[in-house]
Formats: sequence, C-alpha cells, structure tokens
Amino acid sequence: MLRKKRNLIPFLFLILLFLATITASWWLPVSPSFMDSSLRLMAPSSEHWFGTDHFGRDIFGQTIIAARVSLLVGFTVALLSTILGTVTGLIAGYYKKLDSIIMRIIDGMLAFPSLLLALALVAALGGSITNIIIALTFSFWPVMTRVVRSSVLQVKNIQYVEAAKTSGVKDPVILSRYILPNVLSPIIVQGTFIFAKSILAEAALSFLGVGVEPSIPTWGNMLQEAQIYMTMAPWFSIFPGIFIVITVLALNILGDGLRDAFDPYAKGKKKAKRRPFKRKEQIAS
Amino acid sequence: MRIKHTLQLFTILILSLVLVACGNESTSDETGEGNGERKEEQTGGTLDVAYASEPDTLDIMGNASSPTRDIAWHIFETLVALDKDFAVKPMIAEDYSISDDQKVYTVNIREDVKFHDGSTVTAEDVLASLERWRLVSSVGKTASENIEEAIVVDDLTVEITLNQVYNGFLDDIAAPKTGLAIIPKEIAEEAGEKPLTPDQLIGTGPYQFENWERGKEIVLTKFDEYSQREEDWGGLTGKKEAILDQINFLIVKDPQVKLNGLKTDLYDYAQNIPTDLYEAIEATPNTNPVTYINGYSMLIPDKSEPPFDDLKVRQALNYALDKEEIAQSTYGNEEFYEMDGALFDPTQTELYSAEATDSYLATDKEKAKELLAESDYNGESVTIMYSNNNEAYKRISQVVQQQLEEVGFVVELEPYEWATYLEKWQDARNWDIVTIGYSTRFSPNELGFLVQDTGSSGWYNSERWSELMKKWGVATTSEERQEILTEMNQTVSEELPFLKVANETTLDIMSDEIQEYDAWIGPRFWNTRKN
Amino acid sequence: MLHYTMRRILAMIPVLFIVSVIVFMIVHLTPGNPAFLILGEDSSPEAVEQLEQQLGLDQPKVIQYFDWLKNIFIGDLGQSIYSEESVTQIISERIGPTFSLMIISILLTLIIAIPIAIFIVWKRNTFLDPLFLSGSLLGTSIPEFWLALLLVLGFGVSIPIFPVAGYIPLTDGFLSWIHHLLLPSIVLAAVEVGLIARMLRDSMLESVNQDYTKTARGKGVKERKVLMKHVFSNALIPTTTVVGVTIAGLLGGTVIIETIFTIPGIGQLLIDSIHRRDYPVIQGVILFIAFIYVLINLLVDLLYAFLDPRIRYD
Repeated sequence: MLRKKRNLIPFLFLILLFLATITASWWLPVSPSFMDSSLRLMAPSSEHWFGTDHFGRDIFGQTIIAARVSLLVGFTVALLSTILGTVTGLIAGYYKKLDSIIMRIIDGMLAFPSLLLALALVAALGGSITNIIIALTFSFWPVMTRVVRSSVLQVKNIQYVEAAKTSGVKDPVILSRYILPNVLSPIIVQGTFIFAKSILAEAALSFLGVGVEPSIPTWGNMLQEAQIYMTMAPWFSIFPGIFIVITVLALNILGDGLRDAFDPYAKGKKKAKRRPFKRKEQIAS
Repeated sequence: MRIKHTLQLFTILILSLVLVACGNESTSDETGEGNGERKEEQTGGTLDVAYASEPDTLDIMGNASSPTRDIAWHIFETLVALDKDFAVKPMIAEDYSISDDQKVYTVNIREDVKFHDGSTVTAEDVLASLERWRLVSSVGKTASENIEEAIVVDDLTVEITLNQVYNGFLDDIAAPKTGLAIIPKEIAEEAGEKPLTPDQLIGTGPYQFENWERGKEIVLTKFDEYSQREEDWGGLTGKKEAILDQINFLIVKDPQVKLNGLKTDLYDYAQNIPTDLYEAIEATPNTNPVTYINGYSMLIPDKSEPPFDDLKVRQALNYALDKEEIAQSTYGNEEFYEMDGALFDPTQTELYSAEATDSYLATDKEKAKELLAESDYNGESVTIMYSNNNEAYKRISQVVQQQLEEVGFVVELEPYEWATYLEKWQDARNWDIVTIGYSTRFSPNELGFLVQDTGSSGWYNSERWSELMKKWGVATTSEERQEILTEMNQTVSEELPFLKVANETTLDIMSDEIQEYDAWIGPRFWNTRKN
Repeated sequence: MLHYTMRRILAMIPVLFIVSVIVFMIVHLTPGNPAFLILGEDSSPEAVEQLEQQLGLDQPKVIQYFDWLKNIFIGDLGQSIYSEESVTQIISERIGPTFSLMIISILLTLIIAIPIAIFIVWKRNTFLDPLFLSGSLLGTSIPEFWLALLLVLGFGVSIPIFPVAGYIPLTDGFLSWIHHLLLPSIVLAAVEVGLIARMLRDSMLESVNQDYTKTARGKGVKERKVLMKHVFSNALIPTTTVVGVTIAGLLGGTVIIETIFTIPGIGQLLIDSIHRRDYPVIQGVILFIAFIYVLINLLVDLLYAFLDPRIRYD
C-alpha cells in the first residue's frame, strides 16, 4: 500500500509532522510561547522562518506546536468514529432486524451538516479539546456506520461466511473473524478521510471562536488572530493556512491512494472507478 | 436533445455572469461621479455606525458601560454637563447659583425644553429624576449621602440643599456616565430602580430612540423639537444640532469586517479598531482615523474570595506582570498607549497626580514566586474573564495568562460577549480576574472599579479609601485635592484593588464623507454632517 | 410515481423524528440544569424556578420532549433569550440571504464542475486525468475561511472588484445582489467544485465502458459522438444527486462564509447565538437546517426517480 510513491510521500510527511510536533520543545531554539513585544509582526527572516506574530512569538514554532492539537483531535476523532461506526455498522449489516432501527437513527444524524452539528454541540458542552473531540465524533461516526454496513452487506453472503454460519460458529466470532477482515479496507480509507475532515472542522471551530481556548495554539486560533493582519503581516495567516492545507491534503491523498489500492475495480489496468453512489456515502457529510 | 438544451443553458448562465461583471463596473462609475458632484454642504442623511459591543441597556443613569454611554449621549441630557475642556457648564439648566455656605444649589431650568414625548421639562421632572438617580447611579448613591433635601421652588426652579459642604456635587450630576439625566416624572417614578425599558427611553437630546433590534442595530432619529443651545462649548453641552436625520448603530464585532465595511461604504463610522492597523488606515484613501483618550485598561481581581482576597497573592500578581510588555503587545503603536500609574489622565490638570504610584511598574518575577509560595495559593485555577468584543482586552488577558503562568499561577481564560460578560461580572463565583477598560472619568466618585463592595470593583472594601473619599468631598483648594489624590495613589499602590495596565487612546475610523466631526472623548454625532 | 412519492415522504418521518430528538438533546442532555444554561449560572433561585415551570422543566424529559414537539408542529420554536423575539420570526428574517448565497453557489459550482468533468472524460487517457484527481483533492483540503481571507485580500482589497462584506436584498436590485454574493459564492464553489466534478467524472466513466457505448463504437460511431450521445446524457441524471450532495457541503460552509462576509443569514445567526448562549435560537436554527436538508434530499430523490423510472421499482 505504501510502496507507491503517491502514498509514501504524504505518509512520510505526516510522520515527520507528528515527530516534529511532539519533540518540538527539545529542538526549537525559542519557546513558541515566548512573547517579546519588541519583535512584533516581523517578516520572515533567517531567525524567524515564518516571521513573528502580534505578541512577538515565533510563528514557525507556533505552527509546529499547533499541529499537536490538530493531530490529536483528528486522530482521536478518527479512531473513536471508526470504533463506534464499525461496531454499529457490523451489527446493522449483519442483523436484519436491527438494521432498520440503526439505520434510521444514522439517517437522522446524517441530516445535519456535520460542522453545524459540531458547532451546536460545542455550544452546549463548552469549548475544550475534549468537548470538540466528542462533538466531532458524534458528527462523523454515522458516515462510518453507513460505509461499514454496506460493505458488510456485500460480504455477508459470501460462501465461507455462510458455511461458518451453518456449522454453528457463534455470531461474534463470525463478525470478528470472518466479516471484519473483509471490510477492513473501506474502514481504513474512511478513517483517513474522517481524520482529514476533523482537522478542518477543528480549525473552523477555533476560527469561529467556539473551539479550543484562545491561549492554546491551534491552526484555527492562529488564523483567527491573524485575520486583522491580513494586509499588514500576511505571513501570519499564510503559513498556518498552508500547514492545514498540506496536512489535510496529505491525509486525503493517502485515503484516496489507499482506496485505489484496496479497490478490486481499480486493481486491473482499467482506471474505471467504483459505482458513484458509494462515493456519495463517503463524501457527503 | 437534452444536451443541446443544457449547453444552451450554460451559455446563457455564463453570459449573464459576464454581464453582471460589466454591469458592476458601470454602477461603481456612477457612484464615483455622484461623489464629485455633491460638493455643497448637505443636511439630513443616515449615518451607519459599526459599533463593537451591543449595550445591555440604554439607561445611562444606571449603567456605566461605554456602549451604553456612547449611544445614550444622543438621547439624554443632564442639568449641567462637561464642555470640551471638561469644565461644568449648564445644559438643561439656564444657570445655577451656589449659596455662600456652599450648601444650597439653586438651578434654573431653561424654558421650553422638550422631551421626546412632546412634554416640557419642569422642576417636577428634575426632582423625580434626581430621586431615581440617587437610587440607581453609582455616582448618585455617593452624592445622595450628602443631600439634605431637594425642593421645587417654582415650575422652572429647583433647590437642592446639602447636609454638609460637598464640592463634588456638580461633578456628580454632570458625570458623562451615570450622571443626572433628566427624564419625565412619570417614567422616573414608574421605572424606579429598574433599568429603563426601550419605551421609557425618553430624554431631551437632539436624537430620539427609534428602534432596537437586539443583536443587530439600534436606530436613533432626529428630534425635530429639540431645544438647542447656541454656545460653542463642545463636549456634552452648548450647541448640539442634529444635522443628520438618522443614526444607525449596527452591532459589528469583527474588526476586519468593520475595516472592510468602511472601505466599501457599508459603514460611515466604525468604532474600536485595533490600534495596530493605524498605519494601514492612514494609507487608505477615503478613510480617516479618529483618536481620543479613553481612560485606561486594567485587571480587577475578585477580593471577596480566594485566592485574591489575600493581599500577598495580589502582590504576587502585580510583581508577575510586566506591564510595558503587555501594553506593547496589546496596542502595538506607541501613540496609542501611555505607561502612567495615575488615576486620571494628564490632560485633566485638576485631577492628575502621578505621585506615589510606585507599585505600578514593579515587575519582579522572583519576588512574585516568593510571595506566592508564602501565600495560601495552592495551584487552583484562576479564571480571567473578558469580553470578546474587544481585541485589546482579549490580548491583555492572553499576555497576562502567559506572564502569570511563568511565576506559578494556573490560569484559564473565559471570553464572553459583552452583555453576557456584564451579567457574569456581578457574581464573584464566575471569575477571579476581569480584564476591562474604564473610559475617562471626571471625579474620584466616578471610578467604578473603586466603589466599595460592588461587583464592579471586585468587592473592594477599604476603610482607608472610604475616608479619602469623604475628605475629597469637603476639600476646597487645588492643593488639598492634590494631597488627597497622592494619598489615593498610595492606597491603591498598597492595597492593589485593581492593577492598571496603561492609558488607552482609542482608534475609530470614519469615512471622509463625514464632516466637522469632533472626537472629544467618545463618539457623538450631533453637529456632524455627511456628504 | 405517486406511490413512490408517498413512500419517500413516509420514509422521512422516522428521520425527522431522530432529528428532533437530537436537537432536543443538544440542550437537555448537557450537564447542568437547562434553566441555568439559559439564565446563566448566577441567576436567582426564583428566576430559575419560574423558568423551569414556564419551560415545563419540572416535567419528566419525555413529556417535555413531546410538548416541545407539539409546539414545533404549530410553528412555535420558542423565544430568544436575548432579543425575546420568537425564534420562528428571527429565522424567517434570515432565510433570504442564506438562500441567495446557496443558489448562487450551487449554480457557480455546476457551471464550473460540469464542463470540467466533461473535458476530463474526453481527455481521460491523458496526463490531465491524474492531474485533475490530485487537483480535486486540493479543493477539499483548503479551509473555507482561509480561502475566503485570501480572496478578500486579493479581490476585495488589492484589486477591489468585489465588495468585501455585506448583503443587498434582491429587491434592492439584481446587480448589486449578485455582486455582493459572488465573492462568497466563489469561495464556497471552489471547495465544492473538485468533489462534484470528480463524482460526475466517475459516473460518466462508468458509462464509457458500458455495453451500449461499446456497441456504438463497434458500429463505427465517432468517439466524440459516442461521448455526447451516450455518456453525457446519461451523466445528467446523476447530476441531480450531485446537487443534493453540494447542498450538504454548502450548508456547513455558509456558517463560516456568512460570518466572514457579514451576510446576515442563518449561519451568522447561529454563530451570534452561540456567542450569546441563546439556546432556543441555536436549537431552532439547527432544526431548521436539518429539516431543509432532509427536504432537499427528498426532492432530489423524487426528481431522480422522475428522470430515471427504473429507480421507482427498486
């Protein structure tokens, strides 16, 4: 999967960003939270690669540190959504009786544009990293349920699953040993997309001032503060913005590449893609 | 067939878009020409003001916040008011006299001053307003202790007798915030201690209250029967001519939106722009900066509860702060702030004293750590509350958080929208420190952040300060007053009821269509025209 | 068709039921007393009690829910805590700008996405296809608010051809209406175009290799004609679905875009209400948007079934 260069580069970028941000305090020359009012709004230089912000903080350091929240929120939401979505999706796909109940609930949840649902939830819960994770998970896992369920429906009637069923293998075993491995690829692909979307959503929430506390550096918070300096100090908004784009793009390329790698349709020479309506499920949010 | 139709549709849509683009060019040309033609002086018109925070009430008697003040100034007037040099001059009053023993104030009311409801101001209205003012205004409450009685002499004359010599009385009734605004007797009695409701907003000012759409706009219209004075006094008195027909105060929080909106003619005036943008604004055509002194920014700790009920923790707080750093980070441009520990502005010569303000810039991180270790503070989270409608207070809070955490405080920031913020402020459980600015004040009575045992002062309770306030009331000479001011500074320095950050100069912006605008100490749009 | 329509409408009911439960939960299942949430932590016990009675908060949750639901059916979404106006009234005042923004954005998205998709399918075996695939991913990776800021800087401030903020109602003139909406719509479209073009490309590519196209080619019909006649016309039907998907993306995006461009629509109302902790309005707006979304999807499904009769018998 990662052998392809197209997948490898974004993967390496994400790993590098992760390592850079968790080790930042060891290698950054100045603490990114260090304020020095004599250094306000300096243009990029050899000392401050991305320039400085309105508190005289180093924007490069801030941008690197801010990746922590983005990656933390993105990964946790992707993980939680995957767990919740997989469990519900497996159940819905496998048990016909529960299917309609679960899917009605999922349909209801999908009737909200995910960012709006997250906004309302954060409004009720209050803005903190934990609450943002809760809100985004709640908004994103129904998509996962749908994806898993439709994959389960496809593999459920494969012969060896049927065979296992008739030979009296218990349902949990069938689900985890026989079905889950067969639906793993769409789960991973969808998980990657949720990761990407959560980073964008967190940035949007912080930008709107309902996200993470303003004193914690996040890309969204930085852009919110940079807004009024758009003309005076464009580097302040440009660099964090570029980091969001690259990170999210890396995840999207990775997800896309993984999908192609997993996709039986795409394995042959023909580049014809899968049926379009599956895409609706994966894209619509 | 279907394809053909679709393609046709595309062509039409694309063409229409192109047309739209062209059409716009022509419209903008037209407006450009229009501006050139209309050179002669214009009267009438509507002024759109982008205002940062929505007030929670327009009752200027009871509410000392700037959003209330700025809008209510157009609606309400006082018996006497400050002129451009901050001297007390008659407004609704024709004149006044003070008895030789300095205890009896006789005020003659001008004839035929009309309220917005059409009735005429009489001595009864003044008396009823005075009674309400004594109940609801923080300044009025202080003044009230000195009032023996107030009586109606005739229809246009009132006589107020004090129980002792109290020289702050005229300053108190003329206070630009929470001053003695004159309202009709029925309304004063009906409202009592409650804030005035929108239909009770009846004053005598050049503009009358028209409409308030919460969250969106407050509309004032010209009061046709306004009884105008003719003196060129400036400030809040003298000639106040309503040239514009209508003023819309639009609630716009985002500074970037305000700036862009002014550039694109959406607004004529935008209040409270981050001072960092000053140079950019000067370089922008058709946009003029407006600057005026606006008191100072400060931190008020809650002295009724731990940790800041402990003087040691407050001292640690003070030593932890590097105020020059805070001010520079917050205001950026040095033209817009001044490091000065005094209670009043240097331009207020009678009130200004910078003596004994030693603790103002006493930064010593080590000492802060020591004091903190000696105190009862044990790492509980300190909540700094601020209003997110104001960029400056947000930034002060952020830098303060940073500096406090350096010495061992644990700090949390709580931003709220202005009205919610004011509400939260009144309960000590909601906060440990508030970040706020107080606009320019004109007597020690008006310093809301020192009014004993109130939410606004963070429940400050000091006999020493109360004594000084009493002394102030009876002081007669400038020297005496200077001495008291020095003692006041001393008290603040030692008791740390609040921590001053820096004197602020506010930056507003206006379109160059606005003519003859006088900034003074806050936005007032009478005598102003728009071309 | 009528039978199908009825079935689809009936299928909406459980979805809307779930929607209403979720919206109800937003306020009622959060920690703490909703009355405190509404009045503020520092409110007096009397005020809290009064509000509890007024809102029926002393009733069991289930009863509260059904009371609330009953009011919704008569169009009563409650009252704003902040302005004390009825929520229905407030929302109805804000619909115009949001709908205007959505319409222009959808048109713009389709105008750009459809030709691109057609072009890419035509050139499907060239380097343009992989380039397009990466390009479409870029669109979905850009935060809308950031793109908006860049465009405002570029086309509102540096080269001022568009107004940077504000909204002019259609009734005040078509040209200024569209002029004010174009820049925000471009931002919204830019984010959606990649996705939409890609979905169209995919569905067209599918029919490229269908038997009937192969037969046509076998008969010696020219490739361009094959594409025109069989591929594109077949792709128009899925386009209707695409509109549904676009709307979903746009509804989320408008919140941010309205805030940046100060368009007084539903999105801005939501953000303002969140800052004011005005829960009845937040609830009302979310419910309204979800309802609109469900409704639009219903219409899209019906349109789809109308265009492609096979669907009805699925």
